[in-house]
Amino acid sequence: MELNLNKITEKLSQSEFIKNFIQELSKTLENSNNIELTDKEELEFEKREFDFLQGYFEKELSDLSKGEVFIVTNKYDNDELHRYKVTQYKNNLECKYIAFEKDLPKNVQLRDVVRKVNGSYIYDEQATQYLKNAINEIKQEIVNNREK
Amino acid sequence: MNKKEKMKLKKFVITVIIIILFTLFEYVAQQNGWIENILNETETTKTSTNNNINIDNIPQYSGEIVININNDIPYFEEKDISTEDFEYYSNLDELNRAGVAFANICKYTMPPQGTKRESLSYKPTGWVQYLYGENNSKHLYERCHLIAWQLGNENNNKKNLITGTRDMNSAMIEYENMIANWVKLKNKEEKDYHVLYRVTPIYKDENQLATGVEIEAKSVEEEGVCFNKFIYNVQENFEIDYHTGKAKLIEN
Repeated sequence: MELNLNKITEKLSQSEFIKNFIQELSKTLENSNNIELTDKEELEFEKREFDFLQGYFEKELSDLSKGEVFIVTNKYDNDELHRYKVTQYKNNLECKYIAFEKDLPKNVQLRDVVRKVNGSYIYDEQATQYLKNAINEIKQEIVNNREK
Repeated sequence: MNKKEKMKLKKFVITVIIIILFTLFEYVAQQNGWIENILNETETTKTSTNNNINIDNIPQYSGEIVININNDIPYFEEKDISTEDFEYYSNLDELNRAGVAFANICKYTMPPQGTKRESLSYKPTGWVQYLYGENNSKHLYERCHLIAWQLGNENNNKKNLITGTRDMNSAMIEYENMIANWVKLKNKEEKDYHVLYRVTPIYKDENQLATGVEIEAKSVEEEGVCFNKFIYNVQENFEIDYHTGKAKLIEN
């Protein structure tokens, strides 16, 4: 019997079970890389994150041609109304508004960046990735300072 | 020196001594804040009957944990009146203290019925817990949400938490329930009505612990809820150092 490795690999990668397994594994690996901050560092991180986001929103809200920008920050648990909160950072305030799942992009995740156009929210993949990286950098900087 | 001159000199010396003593007393009293206390106490006596207190001029606590501010009328402006659902939380200040929180409460901002709130671990500024009573079963401080969880579904948000005494938290809950009940009542009438609600923690100088909170509320669509209160961050039988949050139980 001849063993066709390519075919086996292809079949495996198409399997729903394997897909879920890989997804879970990635999540676990990502979590294990998550750095635990002390209470003091956590405060510093949140304040620096706020300052960064405020700067980002100031720039983004000055041009609404691509839609008004928000970050998805909260999800209501066990909610028949399927509510989320979307947030802006401006005037030294964290401004939260209610958004419904039906108006948000499909499979929306917390920390996604969305843009409101005609009452609906559109996912902004580029902005989501940009903010994720920038915020991780802030966290990493705090950790690096700890090690000095 | 004749008798008359002697008397004059005596009077003069006594007057000088009295003036020196008075000046000395005034100096010592000022250093120790006695005069300020006397003035505050006089003002405090007025507070129980006078409702026209400005938020910038809160009298010293005089036994009533809740007092009316501005004749119980909130300081909202015309531009604040809105039917949009929102919650605004101030960024923490340079001392990591939470600031003003402002929301337009309605059925959509409130958590679904039956939701259980997760416990909190964040220690807001001034959090120096004091346990007392039998087996340390009583506690002095609680983590107080500025916008109550039952109104805004905002739980573990550092910008929405301050250290408050049990008594202050209990007093706040009474007013929060008033708002929640009104929104629920209107909801039963199939009216999606709003209540503007603002909570302002007041700190003296660089104190870690708030002196108290100002809570203002006004129903938007129709008359119903309207108040402006100041709740002192005090606890019966406790002497609190507001600069640090450390407290001392005063034995009866």
